[in-house]
Amino acid sequence: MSSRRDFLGELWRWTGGALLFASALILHRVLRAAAPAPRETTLSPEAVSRAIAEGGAELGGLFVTGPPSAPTALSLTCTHLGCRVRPASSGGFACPCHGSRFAVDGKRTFGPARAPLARASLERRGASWVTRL
Amino acid sequence: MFRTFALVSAALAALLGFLVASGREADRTRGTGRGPDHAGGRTERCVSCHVKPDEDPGGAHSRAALGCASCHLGNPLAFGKARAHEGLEREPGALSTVAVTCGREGCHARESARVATSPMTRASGIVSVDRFAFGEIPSPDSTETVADILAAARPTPAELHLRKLCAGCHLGARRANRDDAIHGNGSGCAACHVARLEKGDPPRAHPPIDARVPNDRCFACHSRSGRISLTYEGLAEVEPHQIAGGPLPCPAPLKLADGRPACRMAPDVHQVAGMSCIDCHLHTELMGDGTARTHEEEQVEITCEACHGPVREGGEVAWSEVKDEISLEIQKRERRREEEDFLRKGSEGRAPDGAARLGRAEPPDWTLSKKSSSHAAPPDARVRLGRRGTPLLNLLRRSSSSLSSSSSSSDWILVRKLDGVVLQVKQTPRDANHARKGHERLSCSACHTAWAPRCDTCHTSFDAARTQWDFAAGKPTAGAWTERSEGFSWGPPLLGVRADGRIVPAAPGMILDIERTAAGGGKTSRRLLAPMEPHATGKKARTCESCHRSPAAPEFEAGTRTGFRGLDAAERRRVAAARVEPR
Amino acid sequence: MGDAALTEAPAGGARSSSGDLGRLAFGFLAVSALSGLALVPFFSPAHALESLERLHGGMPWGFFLRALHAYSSFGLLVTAVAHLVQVLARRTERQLSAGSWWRSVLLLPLTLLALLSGFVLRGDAAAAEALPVGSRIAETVPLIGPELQRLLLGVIPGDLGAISLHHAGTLTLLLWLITAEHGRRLVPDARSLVLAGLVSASLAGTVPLPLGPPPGAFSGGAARVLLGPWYLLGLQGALVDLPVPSAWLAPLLLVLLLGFVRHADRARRLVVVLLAGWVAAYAAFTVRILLLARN
Repeated sequence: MSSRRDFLGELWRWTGGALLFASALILHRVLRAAAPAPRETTLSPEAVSRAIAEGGAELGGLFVTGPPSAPTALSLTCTHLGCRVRPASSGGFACPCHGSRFAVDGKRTFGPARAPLARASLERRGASWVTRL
Repeated sequence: MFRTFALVSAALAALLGFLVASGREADRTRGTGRGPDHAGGRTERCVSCHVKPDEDPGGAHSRAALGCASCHLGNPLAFGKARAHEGLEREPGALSTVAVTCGREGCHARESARVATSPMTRASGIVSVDRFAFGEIPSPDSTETVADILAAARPTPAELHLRKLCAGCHLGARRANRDDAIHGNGSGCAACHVARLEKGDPPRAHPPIDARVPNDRCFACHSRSGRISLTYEGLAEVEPHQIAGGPLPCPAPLKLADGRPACRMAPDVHQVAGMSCIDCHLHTELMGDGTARTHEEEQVEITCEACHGPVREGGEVAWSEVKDEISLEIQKRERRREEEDFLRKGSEGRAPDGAARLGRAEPPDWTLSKKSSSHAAPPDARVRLGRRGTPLLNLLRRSSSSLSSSSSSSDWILVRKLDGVVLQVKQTPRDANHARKGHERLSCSACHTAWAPRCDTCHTSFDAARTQWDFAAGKPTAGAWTERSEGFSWGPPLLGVRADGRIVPAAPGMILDIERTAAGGGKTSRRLLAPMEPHATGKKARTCESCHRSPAAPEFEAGTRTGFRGLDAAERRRVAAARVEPR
Repeated sequence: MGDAALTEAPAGGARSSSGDLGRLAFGFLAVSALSGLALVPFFSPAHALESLERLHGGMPWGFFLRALHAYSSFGLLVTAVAHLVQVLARRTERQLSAGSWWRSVLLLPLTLLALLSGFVLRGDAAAAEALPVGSRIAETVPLIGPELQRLLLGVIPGDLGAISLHHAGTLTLLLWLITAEHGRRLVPDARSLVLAGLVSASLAGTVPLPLGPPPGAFSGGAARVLLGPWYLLGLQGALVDLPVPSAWLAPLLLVLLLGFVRHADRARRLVVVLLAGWVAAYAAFTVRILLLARN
């Protein structure tokens, strides 16, 4: 009799465990699928041409510069932990969170960041410029 | 025992806390609640303190519509003054921040992008001619801008000269950076579009913002160097000693607002007709059109012929062919403004000329049909174009009778932009005077310029011992450039031959001796002429003798040339280089 | 096991002074939760900074309410840590069952998470930077990193909805539940509640609580170091020099060391020395980031 009770207790426990595992699996699937799509930024041609005329300027989270025919965008997101880097008084960019520094071309010069700032060329789409950064 | 002590001391501390907090609460109530905390549908706490009626620019930029932070930045959510004023822009429109003020997306992004290419921003004409005059660059056509000069780590003598004397006159110079005595107005967009406060205005009043730029905005800068703003108004600057019984007839001497003495001359006929600078000068040449050009004469779009004819091939098109987006927008805005005026004043209160204002005299229907993105104008409506094809929107043809595209003299009217008064635009007659053989290459202003200022004896010297304001450093630095002149004179303009063969007025703008010994280098003597429109148009043309008998006509230095015919082919080629060195 | 702990007789120290600090911490938790409840009607995760600015300046005593919430939470952290130190010093950890001790140790990271989520909910410039930092740190956790990050921070980038629900819901509930189990009472005693309330009110009145500029505000000037919440400065400093996973490895190490204190008989001294070393390193990194910020 007692073995039967033990068995039922085990069954409850195993079923509960399985349920928990299944729930965790479903949660995992849900959360993994919820990854945001790769971002695409559209920039107006006026803003881009102004940025070029100024020798480079911040547009949203990007720093746009380069020749008018083929402008490039530098992501202002620090490659260390994602803070937004700002123009440094000594030239280039500095991260306000952990002190990483980057040169004007995005190359890392100092601090805990390892990778250079992400860089991409702008593509024409109709009248606007588009970049995947 | 300890527990009681802890309780009592905590209670006392809390009491203190409540007392201090009550004080802060009282401060808070005093600091707010005076005015609204919303503007244009957004939270904008600035307007709860800035409630005075004169703190409102009015119009499209009214406080109720835009609040303050849209232009002045800062923190519109904050309550305290210190936090609200963090990152404040005292000079909205200044080019260093224009991308987040006037030029923000949804406002004037396109315009501020164009202004980056305006000669008033770049000033590369002044820069390259100055550096050429100093012998620092081989040609006066460099693309260097004033920003490059200001950023130079080790300025050359010419760069120092520009920094000390010239670099205040460009749109990038912030107010703290410029000689208020000369300008007294903001930089960037504000330099032209924000009206100057008058003496009687409250000191902190917000000046109105307007696309209709009055002449005094232009005057602030263009009354120097070529002095076209002075000339246009019929004023000739003189040295103080010239007024007191000098050889020049100075019938009604006066002092300009900044203290410079001047003599009254004949104003430009367009000034007499009440026209302002912007009645002729197009937005594309003033604010830039996206193409950076080195010299002013390359930038200017308006020509005499554009209004007065003969219209060049393609200089006049049908309204329906105007596709220029900006022009269409301006039309739309003008129409809206007119409707607003009408609603405000009622038909009774309209100015007598107002009835004939844009789009009323002749009714091109200015409404833009969004669907077809073309405007619905009468099929016969025509428009004249500037040199590069920008339509002259205030130049209209009266609807009267003629439906043909050829224009008779009385057909065309000009609407003054500042007050809407309508003027008749006379067309150049095809008579003997205008068809004189051998004069085909003459520009209108070569003959119709009544007078032009001359700076006969300019001397620029450098004094290392003195200090002078440096527009790059934003403070006085060692070394001072001084300009000295024996006196100004005036007369019919000199003539030069432009690169395209046209004979145009030329100014001896850079006839000078430069002593740059102290600034490095030696003494330079330059004889430079620059093509220039003096802006003293007269109805009567100059006399034959003023060109063909006067030794001063073809070139400045009297006595060395006998007249136009005296120029040989080689000399003409030299002159044709526009900024010429005849020797 | 929880049932067993609740029925277990209090082994002596119910009236000891370490119990006093613990009860005071519960008092702070209650003040914090109540003042947080009072803040709920004014806060919108979609307009975080704006709603706080409005509360701060536009509501009668709004600044006081917000400061009360913040200082009672700081009080919770400080008294909880002091309580822990006292427990370690007096070796009273065995008064709790092993399960209850491990859960109680979790109170420390949970408190820090609750405070940090509150910092992020300010929505100002510093808070806006804390969000990607937290997100990247969570991503470096092996196997479950991205999922953990989305669970805690939500799937909409930059949105504060999930965080505010965790702040007011998940974390508050967990803190209260575990504290109740730990202290064997559902609510704090009246004395601790009053004392915590008085201390919080005193600080809230006398020390103004700052609110930073909006994240998109035009900075104009050059970059300067944005400091995170004061209790995480050591972590911020550590991230300047140490690899990113140290941001979760170090707290994990702390929790494990604290948990093992109860099991270590002979090694207890070693564990306590390691704990002291951990704290010293944290203090050193705090100094490091402050020096970096000063330059």
